[in-house]
Amino acid sequence: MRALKHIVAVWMTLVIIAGFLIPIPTIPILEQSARNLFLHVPMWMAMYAVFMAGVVYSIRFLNSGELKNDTKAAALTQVGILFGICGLLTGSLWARFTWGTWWTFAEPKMNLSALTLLLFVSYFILRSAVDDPKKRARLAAVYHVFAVTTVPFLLYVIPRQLPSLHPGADGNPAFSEVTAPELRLIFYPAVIGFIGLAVVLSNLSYRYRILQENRHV
Amino acid sequence: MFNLILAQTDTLTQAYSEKWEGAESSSNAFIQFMSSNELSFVVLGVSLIIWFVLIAFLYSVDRSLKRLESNESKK
Repeated sequence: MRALKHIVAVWMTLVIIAGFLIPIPTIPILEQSARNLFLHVPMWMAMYAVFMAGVVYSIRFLNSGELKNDTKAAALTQVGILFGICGLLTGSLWARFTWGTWWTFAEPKMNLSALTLLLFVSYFILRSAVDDPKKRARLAAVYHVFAVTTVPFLLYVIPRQLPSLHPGADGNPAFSEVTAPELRLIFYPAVIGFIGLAVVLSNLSYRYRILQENRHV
Repeated sequence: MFNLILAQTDTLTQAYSEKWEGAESSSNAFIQFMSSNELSFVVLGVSLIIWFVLIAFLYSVDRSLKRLESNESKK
């Protein structure tokens, strides 16, 4: 973990510099904002990654009953929400200057991603409602598994069935069909870098939570 | 009969709204600034949003740690 944060620091610096400097093909409407591909999309990839990692720890808790796993799940989910918020806000800004509106209820991906975030926010509301650590961990872990199973449907299946301007939705080609090869040179490293950053941040949150729990014991 | 039930419960094959608002663009100074330079400033704005959210997270972890530390020193 100690090495990871240094690697992430250098890696992300290079990715950001390269993301601004590489020449990109000009597409009408998108123009230079196509560079947001290196920022907006990895937010969601990082969110999926830490949500999935989080639910693995929730399942581990249900198997072993070790509270440490529950703490890890909470820390990962917290950072997932953080990245989800980044994704929503950056998407909203991007939408204003390409689609012409900050927010529209005609756009399923926009609304369903907000809904997904609410599902995970309620994970923390549920946690805060129970005082007994063992009981809280078990309830939260079960809810967590439920919440994660909705993610692929809300963010992949349903948006592809509805009319939308978002790439990858009905009537729009997905990433793999429209993205120029030179963009991928930065995009994939950016995804890896932001996932690394999410892991580093969740580790920070995990260490704080462990300290706090030990104090209460 | 089955189709009737399906038609009533199926809200997903219909879009909630066909209206894409905002096509008639309002153009105050901010919108004009952001739209200039081939939308480069949109990328700047997106970077800043991510930066501000991450820095806010760091501040909140820092604040919580400080609270723990001050409780620890009172013991």
